[in-house]
Amino acid sequence: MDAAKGEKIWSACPGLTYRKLADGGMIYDREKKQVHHLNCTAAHVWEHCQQGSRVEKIAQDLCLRYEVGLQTARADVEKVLAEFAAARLIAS
Amino acid sequence: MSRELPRLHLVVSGQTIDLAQWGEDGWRRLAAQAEEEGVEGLFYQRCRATGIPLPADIEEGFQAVYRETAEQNFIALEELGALLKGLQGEDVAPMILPGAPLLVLYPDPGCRPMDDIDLLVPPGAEMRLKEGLQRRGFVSPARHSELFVRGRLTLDLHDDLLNCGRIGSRRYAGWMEPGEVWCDRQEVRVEGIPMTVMCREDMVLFTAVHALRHGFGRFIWFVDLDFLVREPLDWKRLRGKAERYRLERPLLYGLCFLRDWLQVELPDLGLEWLEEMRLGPLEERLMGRIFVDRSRGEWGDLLWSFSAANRWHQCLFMAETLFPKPSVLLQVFPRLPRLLFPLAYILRMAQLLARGGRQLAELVRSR
Repeated sequence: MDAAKGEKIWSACPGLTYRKLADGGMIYDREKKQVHHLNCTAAHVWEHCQQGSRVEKIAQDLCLRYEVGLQTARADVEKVLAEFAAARLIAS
Repeated sequence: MSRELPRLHLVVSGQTIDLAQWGEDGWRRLAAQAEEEGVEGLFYQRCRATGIPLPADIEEGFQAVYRETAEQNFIALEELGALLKGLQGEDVAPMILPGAPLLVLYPDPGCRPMDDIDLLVPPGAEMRLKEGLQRRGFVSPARHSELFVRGRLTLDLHDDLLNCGRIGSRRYAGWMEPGEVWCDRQEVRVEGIPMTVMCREDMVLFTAVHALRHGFGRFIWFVDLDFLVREPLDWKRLRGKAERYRLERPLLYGLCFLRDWLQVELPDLGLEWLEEMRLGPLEERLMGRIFVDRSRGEWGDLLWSFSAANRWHQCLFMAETLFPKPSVLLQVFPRLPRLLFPLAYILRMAQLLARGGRQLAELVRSR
Protein backbone atom coordinates (compact mmCIF):
# COMPACT_ATOMS: atom_id res chain seq x y z
CA MET A 1 0.00 0.00 0.00
CA ASP A 2 1.70 3.23 -1.18
CA ALA A 3 0.27 5.45 1.48
CA ALA A 4 1.42 3.15 4.24
CA LYS A 5 4.97 3.16 2.93
CA GLY A 6 5.24 6.90 3.44
CA GLU A 7 5.53 8.79 6.66
CA LYS A 8 1.85 9.09 7.20
CA ILE A 9 0.45 8.86 10.68
CA TRP A 10 -2.28 6.27 10.85
CA SER A 11 -5.03 6.77 13.40
CA ALA A 12 -8.07 4.78 14.45
CA CYS A 13 -11.37 6.20 13.24
CA PRO A 14 -13.61 7.59 15.96
CA GLY A 15 -16.61 5.63 17.28
CA LEU A 16 -14.87 2.27 17.38
CA THR A 17 -14.39 0.25 20.56
CA TYR A 18 -11.44 -2.04 21.03
CA ARG A 19 -10.90 -4.90 23.48
CA LYS A 20 -7.62 -6.70 23.92
CA LEU A 21 -7.91 -10.49 24.17
CA ALA A 22 -5.53 -13.30 25.08
CA ASP A 23 -4.86 -14.04 21.41
CA GLY A 24 -5.31 -10.65 19.80
CA GLY A 25 -8.24 -8.31 20.04
CA MET A 26 -11.64 -7.22 18.81
CA ILE A 27 -13.01 -4.00 17.37
CA TYR A 28 -16.70 -3.16 17.48
CA ASP A 29 -18.22 -0.69 15.09
CA ARG A 30 -21.51 0.24 16.76
CA GLU A 31 -22.83 2.16 13.83
CA LYS A 32 -22.41 -0.72 11.40
CA LYS A 33 -23.01 -3.37 14.10
CA GLN A 34 -19.85 -5.07 12.94
CA VAL A 35 -17.16 -6.90 14.90
CA HIS A 36 -13.61 -7.26 13.57
CA HIS A 37 -11.48 -10.01 15.08
CA LEU A 38 -7.75 -9.29 15.22
CA ASN A 39 -4.85 -11.69 15.64
CA CYS A 40 -1.85 -10.72 17.80
CA THR A 41 -0.07 -8.79 15.03
CA ALA A 42 -3.19 -6.92 13.97
CA ALA A 43 -3.99 -6.12 17.62
CA HIS A 44 -0.47 -4.74 18.04
CA VAL A 45 -0.88 -2.54 14.95
CA TRP A 46 -4.30 -1.38 16.14
CA GLU A 47 -2.97 -0.37 19.56
CA HIS A 48 -0.43 1.83 17.79
CA CYS A 49 -3.14 3.33 15.59
CA GLN A 50 -5.15 4.24 18.66
CA GLN A 51 -2.42 6.74 19.54
CA GLY A 52 -1.58 7.54 15.94
CA SER A 53 1.60 5.98 14.59
CA ARG A 54 3.83 5.55 11.54
CA VAL A 55 4.57 2.29 9.73
CA GLU A 56 8.24 2.39 10.67
CA LYS A 57 7.55 2.87 14.36
CA ILE A 58 4.96 0.08 14.45
CA ALA A 59 7.29 -2.28 12.58
CA GLN A 60 10.22 -1.54 14.89
CA ASP A 61 8.07 -2.22 17.90
CA LEU A 62 6.82 -5.45 16.33
CA CYS A 63 10.44 -6.58 15.85
CA LEU A 64 11.14 -6.13 19.54
CA ARG A 65 8.06 -8.04 20.57
CA TYR A 66 8.08 -10.99 18.19
CA GLU A 67 11.71 -11.44 17.17
CA VAL A 68 11.12 -10.90 13.46
CA GLY A 69 13.29 -9.01 10.96
CA LEU A 70 12.43 -5.40 10.21
CA GLN A 71 11.62 -6.13 6.58
CA THR A 72 9.15 -8.89 7.47
CA ALA A 73 7.64 -6.75 10.20
CA ARG A 74 7.22 -3.80 7.85
CA ALA A 75 5.51 -6.00 5.25
CA ASP A 76 3.17 -7.40 7.91
CA VAL A 77 2.31 -3.96 9.24
CA GLU A 78 1.61 -2.62 5.76
CA LYS A 79 -0.64 -5.58 5.02
CA VAL A 80 -2.60 -5.10 8.24
CA LEU A 81 -2.88 -1.34 7.70
CA ALA A 82 -4.18 -1.94 4.20
CA GLU A 83 -6.84 -4.25 5.59
CA PHE A 84 -7.79 -1.74 8.28
CA ALA A 85 -8.00 1.02 5.70
CA ALA A 86 -10.14 -1.13 3.39
CA ALA A 87 -12.52 -1.76 6.29
CA ARG A 88 -12.50 2.00 7.03
CA LEU A 89 -11.17 1.46 10.53
CA ILE A 90 -8.23 3.85 10.17
CA ALA A 91 -7.40 7.07 8.37
CA SER A 92 -4.20 8.95 7.76
CA MET B 1 -18.39 -36.54 41.03
CA SER B 2 -15.81 -36.44 38.32
CA ARG B 3 -12.29 -36.50 39.71
CA GLU B 4 -11.36 -33.92 37.11
CA LEU B 5 -13.54 -31.17 38.55
CA PRO B 6 -11.17 -29.99 41.33
CA ARG B 7 -8.34 -30.03 38.78
CA LEU B 8 -10.44 -28.19 36.26
CA HIS B 9 -11.26 -25.65 38.91
CA LEU B 10 -7.58 -25.16 39.69
CA VAL B 11 -6.86 -24.45 36.05
CA VAL B 12 -9.77 -22.17 35.25
CA SER B 13 -9.42 -20.21 38.48
CA GLY B 14 -5.82 -19.52 37.51
CA GLN B 15 -4.27 -21.29 40.51
CA THR B 16 -2.25 -23.81 38.57
CA ILE B 17 -1.49 -24.46 34.97
CA ASP B 18 1.20 -27.08 35.41
CA LEU B 19 -0.46 -29.42 32.99
CA ALA B 20 2.69 -31.36 32.18
CA GLN B 21 2.41 -33.27 35.47
CA TRP B 22 -0.89 -34.79 34.36
CA GLY B 23 0.47 -36.34 31.19
CA GLU B 24 -1.07 -36.37 27.74
CA ASP B 25 -4.09 -38.44 28.75
CA GLY B 26 -4.86 -36.47 31.87
CA TRP B 27 -4.53 -33.31 29.88
CA ARG B 28 -6.99 -34.45 27.26
CA ARG B 29 -9.46 -35.66 29.90
CA LEU B 30 -9.26 -32.25 31.50
CA ALA B 31 -9.91 -30.50 28.20
CA ALA B 32 -12.87 -32.82 27.57
CA GLN B 33 -14.21 -31.93 31.01
CA ALA B 34 -13.78 -28.22 30.28
CA GLU B 35 -15.81 -28.68 27.12
CA GLU B 36 -18.50 -30.66 28.91
CA GLU B 37 -18.74 -27.98 31.60
CA GLY B 38 -18.86 -25.10 29.12
CA VAL B 39 -15.68 -23.37 30.32
CA GLU B 40 -13.61 -23.77 27.16
CA GLY B 41 -13.15 -20.02 26.81
CA LEU B 42 -11.73 -19.57 30.28
CA PHE B 43 -9.58 -22.69 29.92
CA TYR B 44 -8.21 -21.42 26.61
CA GLN B 45 -7.50 -17.96 28.03
CA ARG B 46 -5.59 -19.41 31.00
CA CYS B 47 -3.44 -21.53 28.69
CA ARG B 48 -2.77 -18.65 26.29
CA ALA B 49 -1.97 -16.20 29.07
CA THR B 50 0.59 -18.55 30.58
CA GLY B 51 2.04 -19.70 27.27
CA ILE B 52 0.90 -23.34 27.61
CA PRO B 53 0.44 -24.76 24.11
CA LEU B 54 -2.80 -26.65 23.62
CA PRO B 55 -2.91 -29.59 21.20
CA ALA B 56 -3.93 -28.15 17.83
CA ASP B 57 -7.24 -30.03 17.61
CA ILE B 58 -8.32 -28.83 21.04
CA GLU B 59 -7.04 -25.31 20.53
CA GLU B 60 -9.07 -24.71 17.40
CA GLY B 61 -12.37 -25.61 19.03
CA PHE B 62 -11.65 -23.79 22.28
CA GLN B 63 -10.49 -20.68 20.48
CA ALA B 64 -13.71 -20.62 18.48
CA VAL B 65 -15.78 -20.75 21.68
CA TYR B 66 -13.58 -18.11 23.32
CA ARG B 67 -13.91 -15.75 20.37
CA GLU B 68 -17.64 -16.32 20.03
CA THR B 69 -18.19 -15.66 23.73
CA ALA B 70 -16.02 -12.55 23.59
CA GLU B 71 -17.90 -11.24 20.58
CA GLN B 72 -21.31 -11.89 22.08
CA ASN B 73 -20.41 -10.28 25.42
CA PHE B 74 -18.59 -7.39 23.79
CA ILE B 75 -21.56 -6.49 21.63
CA ALA B 76 -24.07 -6.99 24.45
CA LEU B 77 -22.11 -4.75 26.82
CA GLU B 78 -21.51 -2.03 24.23
CA GLU B 79 -25.21 -1.98 23.35
CA LEU B 80 -26.13 -2.05 27.02
CA GLY B 81 -23.79 0.87 27.69
CA ALA B 82 -25.48 3.01 25.04
CA LEU B 83 -28.92 1.99 26.33
CA LEU B 84 -28.07 2.79 29.96
CA LYS B 85 -26.83 6.23 28.97
CA GLY B 86 -30.23 6.97 27.42
CA LEU B 87 -32.21 5.50 30.31
CA GLN B 88 -30.23 7.48 32.87
CA GLY B 89 -31.39 10.62 31.11
CA GLU B 90 -34.96 9.49 31.72
CA ASP B 91 -34.25 8.55 35.33
CA VAL B 92 -35.23 4.89 34.78
CA ALA B 93 -31.78 3.25 34.69
CA PRO B 94 -32.10 -0.28 36.10
CA MET B 95 -29.71 -2.25 38.29
CA ILE B 96 -27.71 -4.86 36.37
CA LEU B 97 -27.97 -8.21 38.12
CA PRO B 98 -25.21 -10.87 38.06
CA GLY B 99 -23.94 -12.26 35.60
CA ALA B 100 -22.89 -9.20 33.55
CA PRO B 101 -21.26 -7.56 36.61
CA LEU B 102 -19.40 -10.81 37.31
CA LEU B 103 -17.35 -10.27 34.16
CA VAL B 104 -15.10 -7.93 36.17
CA LEU B 105 -13.86 -11.01 38.02
CA TYR B 106 -12.64 -12.66 34.82
CA PRO B 107 -9.62 -11.84 32.68
CA ASP B 108 -11.65 -10.79 29.62
CA PRO B 109 -15.13 -11.10 28.07
CA GLY B 110 -14.25 -14.34 26.25
CA CYS B 111 -13.98 -16.20 29.54
CA ARG B 112 -17.52 -16.24 30.83
CA PRO B 113 -20.59 -16.91 28.72
CA MET B 114 -23.58 -14.72 29.41
CA ASP B 115 -27.04 -15.50 28.06
CA ASP B 116 -29.35 -12.58 28.61
CA ILE B 117 -28.79 -9.57 30.83
CA ASP B 118 -30.94 -9.50 33.96
CA LEU B 119 -32.14 -6.10 35.12
CA LEU B 120 -33.78 -5.05 38.36
CA VAL B 121 -36.37 -2.38 37.66
CA PRO B 122 -36.02 0.77 39.79
CA PRO B 123 -38.87 0.98 42.34
CA GLY B 124 -42.02 2.39 40.74
CA ALA B 125 -40.50 2.70 37.27
CA GLU B 126 -41.59 -0.52 35.57
CA MET B 127 -43.99 1.01 33.03
CA ARG B 128 -41.66 3.88 32.16
CA LEU B 129 -38.75 1.48 31.71
CA LYS B 130 -40.77 -0.84 29.48
CA GLU B 131 -41.95 2.10 27.38
CA GLY B 132 -38.39 3.35 27.13
CA LEU B 133 -37.23 -0.03 25.86
CA GLN B 134 -40.07 -0.29 23.34
CA ARG B 135 -39.28 3.19 22.02
CA ARG B 136 -35.73 2.02 21.41
CA GLY B 137 -36.85 -0.91 19.31
CA PHE B 138 -36.92 -3.72 21.88
CA VAL B 139 -39.69 -6.29 21.47
CA SER B 140 -41.03 -9.02 23.77
CA PRO B 141 -41.46 -12.62 22.54
CA ALA B 142 -44.91 -14.16 22.95
CA ARG B 143 -45.77 -15.11 26.56
CA HIS B 144 -42.60 -13.43 27.85
CA SER B 145 -43.60 -9.88 28.66
CA GLU B 146 -40.54 -9.54 30.91
CA LEU B 147 -38.09 -10.25 28.06
CA PHE B 148 -36.95 -7.48 25.71
CA VAL B 149 -34.96 -8.35 22.63
CA ARG B 150 -33.16 -6.16 20.12
CA GLY B 151 -30.58 -7.66 17.81
CA ARG B 152 -28.11 -9.65 19.88
CA LEU B 153 -29.10 -8.05 23.16
CA THR B 154 -31.71 -9.78 25.33
CA LEU B 155 -32.83 -8.12 28.54
CA ASP B 156 -34.77 -9.89 31.28
CA LEU B 157 -36.64 -7.48 33.54
CA HIS B 158 -37.22 -8.34 37.20
CA ASP B 159 -39.11 -6.52 39.89
CA ASP B 160 -37.92 -8.91 42.57
CA LEU B 161 -34.70 -10.80 43.00
CA LEU B 162 -35.69 -14.43 43.42
CA ASN B 163 -38.48 -14.58 40.83
CA CYS B 164 -41.09 -14.66 43.57
CA GLY B 165 -43.51 -13.03 41.18
CA ARG B 166 -43.48 -16.28 39.22
CA ILE B 167 -43.47 -18.60 42.21
CA GLY B 168 -44.86 -16.81 45.26
CA SER B 169 -43.98 -19.57 47.77
CA ARG B 170 -40.30 -18.92 47.13
CA ARG B 171 -40.64 -16.19 49.71
CA TYR B 172 -40.82 -18.96 52.34
CA ALA B 173 -37.33 -20.10 51.35
CA GLY B 174 -35.73 -16.69 51.16
CA TRP B 175 -36.35 -13.14 50.12
CA MET B 176 -33.92 -10.46 49.05
CA GLU B 177 -35.58 -7.18 49.82
CA PRO B 178 -35.32 -5.07 46.62
CA GLY B 179 -35.44 -1.83 48.64
CA GLU B 180 -32.44 -2.86 50.71
CA VAL B 181 -30.58 -4.10 47.65
CA TRP B 182 -31.20 -0.76 45.90
CA CYS B 183 -30.10 1.09 49.00
CA ASP B 184 -26.80 -0.81 49.16
CA ARG B 185 -26.07 -0.61 45.42
CA GLN B 186 -22.72 0.38 44.00
CA GLU B 187 -21.58 1.98 40.77
CA VAL B 188 -18.97 0.01 38.84
CA ARG B 189 -17.47 -0.18 35.38
CA VAL B 190 -17.76 -3.49 33.59
CA GLU B 191 -15.55 -3.55 30.51
CA GLY B 192 -15.55 0.22 30.67
CA ILE B 193 -19.35 0.45 30.81
CA PRO B 194 -20.62 2.32 33.89
CA MET B 195 -23.51 0.54 35.58
CA THR B 196 -25.38 0.21 38.85
CA VAL B 197 -24.96 -3.19 40.48
CA MET B 198 -25.55 -4.89 43.84
CA CYS B 199 -23.06 -4.55 46.63
CA ARG B 200 -20.57 -7.41 46.77
CA GLU B 201 -22.30 -9.15 49.70
CA ASP B 202 -25.68 -9.14 47.93
CA MET B 203 -23.95 -10.44 44.83
CA VAL B 204 -22.57 -13.42 46.79
CA LEU B 205 -26.02 -14.29 48.13
CA PHE B 206 -27.72 -13.80 44.78
CA THR B 207 -25.15 -15.96 43.01
CA ALA B 208 -25.38 -18.72 45.62
CA VAL B 209 -29.16 -18.89 45.55
CA HIS B 210 -29.33 -18.58 41.76
CA ALA B 211 -26.93 -21.49 41.35
CA LEU B 212 -28.89 -23.53 43.89
CA ARG B 213 -32.21 -22.83 42.17
CA HIS B 214 -30.72 -24.31 39.03
CA GLY B 215 -29.16 -27.26 40.83
CA PHE B 216 -25.63 -25.87 40.29
CA GLY B 217 -26.13 -26.99 36.69
CA ARG B 218 -23.28 -24.88 35.36
CA PHE B 219 -19.73 -25.22 36.53
CA ILE B 220 -19.13 -21.52 35.91
CA TRP B 221 -21.41 -20.72 38.88
CA PHE B 222 -18.91 -22.39 41.23
CA VAL B 223 -16.18 -20.29 39.64
CA ASP B 224 -18.30 -17.13 40.07
CA LEU B 225 -18.84 -17.89 43.74
CA ASP B 226 -15.20 -18.69 44.30
CA PHE B 227 -14.07 -15.45 42.65
CA LEU B 228 -16.64 -13.46 44.61
CA VAL B 229 -15.64 -14.77 48.03
CA ARG B 230 -11.96 -14.27 47.19
CA GLU B 231 -12.59 -10.55 46.76
CA PRO B 232 -12.56 -8.32 49.85
CA LEU B 233 -15.88 -8.98 51.57
CA ASP B 234 -17.51 -7.71 54.73
CA TRP B 235 -18.28 -11.13 56.19
CA LYS B 236 -20.18 -9.67 59.12
CA ARG B 237 -22.44 -7.81 56.74
CA LEU B 238 -22.76 -10.89 54.54
CA ARG B 239 -23.81 -13.02 57.50
CA GLY B 240 -26.27 -10.37 58.65
CA LYS B 241 -27.84 -10.17 55.21
CA ALA B 242 -27.94 -13.95 54.81
CA GLU B 243 -29.77 -14.24 58.11
CA ARG B 244 -32.17 -11.41 57.35
CA TYR B 245 -32.96 -12.69 53.86
CA ARG B 246 -33.21 -16.28 55.12
CA LEU B 247 -30.49 -17.28 52.68
CA GLU B 248 -28.01 -18.74 55.12
CA ARG B 249 -28.48 -22.26 53.85
CA PRO B 250 -28.03 -21.50 50.13
CA LEU B 251 -24.82 -19.69 51.08
CA LEU B 252 -23.80 -22.63 53.25
CA TYR B 253 -24.37 -25.09 50.40
CA GLY B 254 -22.43 -22.96 47.94
CA LEU B 255 -19.45 -22.60 50.25
CA CYS B 256 -19.55 -26.29 51.21
CA PHE B 257 -19.45 -27.24 47.55
CA LEU B 258 -16.40 -25.07 47.09
CA ARG B 259 -14.61 -26.30 50.21
CA ASP B 260 -15.56 -29.99 50.28
CA TRP B 261 -16.11 -30.92 46.65
CA LEU B 262 -13.78 -28.62 44.77
CA GLN B 263 -11.16 -28.28 47.51
CA VAL B 264 -11.17 -24.51 47.26
CA GLU B 265 -9.27 -22.68 49.99
CA LEU B 266 -11.83 -20.32 51.45
CA PRO B 267 -10.98 -17.15 53.37
CA ASP B 268 -10.62 -17.64 57.14
CA LEU B 269 -13.79 -15.72 57.95
CA GLY B 270 -15.74 -17.93 55.57
CA LEU B 271 -14.29 -21.05 57.15
CA GLU B 272 -15.16 -19.80 60.62
CA TRP B 273 -18.75 -19.29 59.56
CA LEU B 274 -18.87 -22.77 58.01
CA GLU B 275 -17.67 -24.26 61.30
CA GLU B 276 -20.62 -22.66 63.08
CA MET B 277 -23.16 -23.94 60.58
CA ARG B 278 -24.17 -27.57 60.34
CA LEU B 279 -25.55 -29.61 57.47
CA GLY B 280 -28.27 -32.12 58.22
CA PRO B 281 -27.74 -35.70 56.99
CA LEU B 282 -30.46 -35.32 54.36
CA GLU B 283 -28.94 -32.06 53.16
CA GLU B 284 -25.56 -33.77 52.83
CA ARG B 285 -27.06 -36.57 50.77
CA LEU B 286 -28.91 -34.13 48.56
CA MET B 287 -25.75 -32.13 48.01
CA GLY B 288 -23.98 -35.29 46.91
CA ARG B 289 -26.80 -36.01 44.49
CA ILE B 290 -26.78 -32.48 43.12
CA PHE B 291 -23.06 -32.62 42.49
CA VAL B 292 -23.24 -35.79 40.41
CA ASP B 293 -26.53 -34.85 38.77
CA ARG B 294 -26.07 -31.16 38.24
CA SER B 295 -28.23 -30.65 35.22
CA ARG B 296 -31.49 -31.40 37.05
CA GLY B 297 -33.27 -28.46 38.62
CA GLU B 298 -35.48 -30.30 41.09
CA TRP B 299 -32.69 -31.41 43.46
CA GLY B 300 -31.64 -27.80 43.82
CA ASP B 301 -35.18 -26.68 44.59
CA LEU B 302 -35.57 -29.51 47.08
CA LEU B 303 -32.37 -28.49 48.84
CA TRP B 304 -33.42 -24.86 48.78
CA SER B 305 -36.71 -25.80 50.47
CA PHE B 306 -34.71 -26.53 53.64
CA SER B 307 -34.48 -22.76 54.11
CA ALA B 308 -38.22 -22.65 54.86
CA ALA B 309 -39.10 -22.07 58.49
CA ASN B 310 -41.35 -25.14 58.83
CA ARG B 311 -42.49 -28.28 57.02
CA TRP B 312 -45.75 -26.71 55.85
CA HIS B 313 -43.93 -23.87 54.13
CA GLN B 314 -41.43 -26.37 52.73
CA CYS B 315 -44.30 -28.37 51.20
CA LEU B 316 -45.96 -25.24 49.78
CA PHE B 317 -42.65 -24.17 48.29
CA MET B 318 -42.10 -27.53 46.60
CA ALA B 319 -45.71 -27.84 45.42
CA GLU B 320 -45.67 -24.44 43.73
CA THR B 321 -42.18 -24.96 42.34
CA LEU B 322 -43.25 -28.20 40.68
CA PHE B 323 -46.68 -26.93 39.66
CA PRO B 324 -46.49 -23.17 39.20
CA LYS B 325 -49.34 -20.91 38.15
CA PRO B 326 -50.77 -21.26 34.58
CA SER B 327 -48.92 -18.28 33.08
CA VAL B 328 -45.58 -19.80 34.13
CA LEU B 329 -46.49 -23.31 32.97
CA LEU B 330 -47.57 -21.94 29.60
CA GLN B 331 -44.02 -20.63 29.19
CA VAL B 332 -42.76 -24.16 29.89
CA PHE B 333 -45.08 -25.51 27.18
CA PRO B 334 -45.10 -22.66 24.66
CA ARG B 335 -46.99 -24.55 21.95
CA LEU B 336 -49.99 -25.28 24.15
CA PRO B 337 -52.91 -22.92 23.38
CA ARG B 338 -53.70 -20.61 26.28
CA LEU B 339 -57.27 -21.92 26.62
CA LEU B 340 -56.04 -25.47 27.17
CA PHE B 341 -53.92 -24.48 30.15
CA PRO B 342 -55.28 -27.29 32.43
CA LEU B 343 -53.54 -29.70 30.06
CA ALA B 344 -50.26 -28.05 31.01
CA TYR B 345 -50.59 -29.58 34.49
CA ILE B 346 -51.01 -33.05 33.03
CA LEU B 347 -48.01 -32.50 30.77
CA ARG B 348 -46.04 -31.23 33.73
CA MET B 349 -46.96 -34.32 35.76
CA ALA B 350 -45.83 -36.55 32.89
CA GLN B 351 -42.62 -34.55 32.56
CA LEU B 352 -41.85 -34.92 36.27
CA LEU B 353 -42.68 -38.63 36.31
CA ALA B 354 -40.42 -39.25 33.32
CA ARG B 355 -37.60 -37.24 34.85
CA GLY B 356 -38.07 -38.87 38.25
CA GLY B 357 -38.06 -42.33 36.67
CA ARG B 358 -34.86 -41.55 34.81
CA GLN B 359 -33.19 -40.24 37.94
CA LEU B 360 -34.31 -43.27 39.94
CA ALA B 361 -32.93 -45.60 37.28
CA GLU B 362 -29.63 -43.74 37.31
CA LEU B 363 -29.55 -43.89 41.09
CA VAL B 364 -30.11 -47.65 41.07
CA ARG B 365 -27.47 -48.13 38.35
CA SER B 366 -24.93 -46.07 40.29
CA ARG B 367 -25.43 -48.27 43.36
